[in-house]
Amino acid sequence: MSAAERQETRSRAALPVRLQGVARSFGAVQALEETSLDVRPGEFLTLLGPSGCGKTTLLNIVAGFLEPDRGEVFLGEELVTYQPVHSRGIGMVFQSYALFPHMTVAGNVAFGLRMHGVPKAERAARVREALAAVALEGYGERHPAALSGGQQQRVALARAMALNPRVLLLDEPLSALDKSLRLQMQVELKAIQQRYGVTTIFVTHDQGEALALSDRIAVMRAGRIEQIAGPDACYRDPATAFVAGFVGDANRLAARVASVEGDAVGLLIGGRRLALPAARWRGEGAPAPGADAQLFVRPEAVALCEAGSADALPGRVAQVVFQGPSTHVLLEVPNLGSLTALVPAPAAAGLPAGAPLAARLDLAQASLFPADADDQA
Amino acid sequence: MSPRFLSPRLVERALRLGFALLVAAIVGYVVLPAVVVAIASLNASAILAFPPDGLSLRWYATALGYRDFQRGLVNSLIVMAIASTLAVAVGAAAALYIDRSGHRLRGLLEAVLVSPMVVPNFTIGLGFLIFAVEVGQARTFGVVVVSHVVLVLPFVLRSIYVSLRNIDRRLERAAATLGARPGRVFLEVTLPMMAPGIFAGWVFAAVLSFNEFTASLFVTARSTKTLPVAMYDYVREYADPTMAALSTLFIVTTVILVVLANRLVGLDRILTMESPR
Repeated sequence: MSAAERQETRSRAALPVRLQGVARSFGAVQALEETSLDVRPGEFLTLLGPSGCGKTTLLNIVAGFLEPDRGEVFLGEELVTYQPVHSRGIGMVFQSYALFPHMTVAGNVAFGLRMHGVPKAERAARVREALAAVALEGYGERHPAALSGGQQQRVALARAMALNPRVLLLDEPLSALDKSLRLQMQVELKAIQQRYGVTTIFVTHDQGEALALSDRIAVMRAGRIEQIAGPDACYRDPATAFVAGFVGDANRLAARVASVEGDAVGLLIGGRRLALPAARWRGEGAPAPGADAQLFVRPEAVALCEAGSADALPGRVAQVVFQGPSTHVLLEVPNLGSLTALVPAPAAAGLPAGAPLAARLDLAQASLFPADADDQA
Repeated sequence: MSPRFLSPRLVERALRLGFALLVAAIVGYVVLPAVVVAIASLNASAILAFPPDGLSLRWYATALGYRDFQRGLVNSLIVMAIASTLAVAVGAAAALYIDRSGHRLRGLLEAVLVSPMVVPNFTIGLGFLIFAVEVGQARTFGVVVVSHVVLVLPFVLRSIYVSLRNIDRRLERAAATLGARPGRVFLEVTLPMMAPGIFAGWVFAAVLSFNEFTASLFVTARSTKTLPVAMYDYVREYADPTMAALSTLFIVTTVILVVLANRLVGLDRILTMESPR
């Protein structure tokens, strides 16, 4: 089978990626604890976490830049743990673009085809096709240095996709772009990934990017995957306090378990007694009355009401941050601290600082963790 | 109150003028020998004198027609071409090894390769002479070439090493993901990106080798005499402006070479280390 034919077969079906008990340390630092991960065929999976969480190590192990200390890596059915990078059939896009400065745009895109022995005529056609896919027709003869950051990133993507890779690896590909361009590139990236249907592993520290692009997110911290779930589930049902704090905005409130009766957990928050559905408890076993806990409430689950309302936390307006369609209202609550509410803009119109208001928490959307749950990166 | 003539503005002006004069003086001293020689080379009479007592180009004709100089030039060009090419090959290999291997002896290797910069050329020439006599190579081009390679190597190594350090290693990784075997990665990505550094290194080596005198004095024989040695021999016998004319040609040639090289690849760009990766 020629290399070109193999390329063709590759493009027919997306492959799963399987990591089995993979671990890696650098000297005394355990960069990646023993980790298993199944990436489904055609899936867009994001490795999300702060720097040093092990996401890049994991990606480099899949790419073949690093060997794991133990564990195995499979692309489809093929064991590739110790296979060299060049024979893995992966496509990769780097944060710095990593375009070859001594080659034209077309030369960059053709590079992989050339390495795989694709004949010249076919090469030209596939380069044209790949550049068209990223809306850069006619840019082939330019040099990378003559392109904008966004264009360079699209060339890098075209270069990776021209080979119909078995897996697409994206190492923070958008973080060098400015914000508006980043949003536009998110849309394009997702569209291209879906068009090719390629299994994709995306590394980022930007939770907004992860929520917007992913089929599933693996939230990582300190060399471990804390939770792997769809963006919606990570946001609504965080498995750990770290995930609750890292994915999306959240108010973190100190609480104490006052009582546990059937489906309801009685909580003392800022001197008030509130009832939380028992299903929102995310610790081990059942919550113990008298135990300290931390409650994560999304800003949109905080409603503002008149001071003195029942079941609401009384406070004063500290700051109003207008954001177009909605407004962030910062409320100073005695014995509790500050609380952010995200409310529709009209509801916050004309609120003066210092105005007495109360916050009603939608505890059905909140998550309760033991107080000692470690949520720091 | 300070006297009026010492107003701060006046002091500043005086300082500025003084500084400009100092810079001019330094530049003047640097180019002074070349200028004096160039003017002396135009002297009409047969003595090395400054200022000249008449203008003529006849010493240029003498210089170009002198057999020893012609032979010296050919020898110098042969030695220069072979020595700088060898130095670039060795330098590139060493630079790659130093940059790419996490070798414990890296620092030592670097020190050894740079040591000709601190050992006098005189010592190196003497050393190679003794060695060459010992192995029966005293009258060959071999010993001249080898000593020149050793002398220029630190400069070549430095130039190539810097260009290598400036390569973004992710380019090599990207090439690997695209299916390039390590050998192809080197040929297609690393080497082309090193090319300007290699070229600059070669130019350095060529200029240094072409101008080298001290070590060459020891290791050259009658048949392998390089141009600077031939010039020295001439000066010991005669004291006419032929010498000055040849020196002027020498300077002009070197300047043209360096300017051309700079135009081609921008030496300043290559010789600066970018921020570390």
